[in-house]
Amino acid sequence: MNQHAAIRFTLNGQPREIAAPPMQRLLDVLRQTCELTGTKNGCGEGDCGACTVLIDGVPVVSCLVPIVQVEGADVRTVESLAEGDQPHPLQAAFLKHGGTQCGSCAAGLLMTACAHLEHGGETDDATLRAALAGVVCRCAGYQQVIASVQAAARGGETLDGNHL
Amino acid sequence: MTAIISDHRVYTATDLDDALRFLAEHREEGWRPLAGGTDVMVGVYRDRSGGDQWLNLSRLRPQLAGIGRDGDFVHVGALATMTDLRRSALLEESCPLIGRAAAVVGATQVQNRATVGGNIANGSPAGDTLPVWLALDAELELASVRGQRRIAYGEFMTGYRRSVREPDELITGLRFQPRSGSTGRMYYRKVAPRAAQGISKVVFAAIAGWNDGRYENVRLVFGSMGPITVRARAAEQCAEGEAPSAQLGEQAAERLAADLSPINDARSTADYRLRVAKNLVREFLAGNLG
Repeated sequence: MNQHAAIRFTLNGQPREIAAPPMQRLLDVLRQTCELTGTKNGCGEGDCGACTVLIDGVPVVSCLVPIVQVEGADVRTVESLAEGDQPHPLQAAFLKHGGTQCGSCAAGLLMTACAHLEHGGETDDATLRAALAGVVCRCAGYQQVIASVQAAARGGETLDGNHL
Repeated sequence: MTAIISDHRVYTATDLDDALRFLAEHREEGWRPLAGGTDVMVGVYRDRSGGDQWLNLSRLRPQLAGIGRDGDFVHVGALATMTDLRRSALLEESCPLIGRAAAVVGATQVQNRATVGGNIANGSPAGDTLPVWLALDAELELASVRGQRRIAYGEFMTGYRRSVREPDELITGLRFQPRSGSTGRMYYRKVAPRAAQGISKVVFAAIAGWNDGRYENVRLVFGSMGPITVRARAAEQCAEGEAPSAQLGEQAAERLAADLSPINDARSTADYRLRVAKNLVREFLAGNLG
């Protein structure tokens, strides 16, 4: 019942121990305590999906997860995708195929798509639309998002300087 | 925000016995169970509703998330998630309405956390899975250090977000008798502002047995049509022992007002809700749905 119990979890492959109020949102711990601001705060009520991260490989909205429930879990954010200067294939495909515009929903879309592909999900239009339905894009770039994920799934995406 | 949230206290139970012991020892202190958190966190951050003392159940998942057979019944653990419900072959076979209802609870990111017990305990009038449990005559299991008891889900809610759960009790699961499509008709529909991720204007679950071309044990259940999920008993009685027909549908639809008490609110109007409810009952009993 300690109000600021230490929470131990794995964040992007690294063990972390965070002292935080137990009901603080995972979203706030990521952005404020861990200074990983790639995860965006959208609606704050679980409707928009912008704050989607993976807990134990499963997409969840980090605005509705109290940090106390992250104890012992494996958390992955959008910052886990790129390796140094090398974008993840999904990131490369989003840049090349216009999957991201203003960027507010991009982290949520990328992490949701990442989980879908890692779990061997199908990549036809209908399946992807259902898989990504939880992330709302206000730029209405949905068609490019689908095309981006399909391109990433095909593999071999490369970027030149024009895309960065 | 931080100043407020730092006042909240959480006890993380190690297992079910620990949780029940904690609830018994602190029964007068207003601690509330915290399951998937998808309703609780919205309340905590929007208006601090629901209190500030939480019994975290996340470590009870190995004990309370199972879905399996229990004699003639199918048992669903309270910490099974909406995703678990959607993926269960046993539930698809036992009552496909369960997976359909779970599929419209928010987005998949929410379904991965939201639990059966949380949806029931939260007791929202608009709870998407609740009409299905009521239509199935499901029995809830409530556990405490005093023992376990079973009650019909239909007797659980006593008013707007009020239930018969005692402060030292935990919902551990529910059970129901399987209903397949071959022995009856069933239908589920959530009517919301859009196809995905809306809060319902009307939720409808219907299950009817089928005997020699006639309905029996008819259950016509509505959510968002009153303070709690409710059976349209007058319409049910109207259909009992009758064969499907457009006329039967019309007659039953006209009796809905006896049991439903829709209101005007931010999401819809009483008139619209009742109109939609009538359309659903009329079409279901005419044999056009399910």
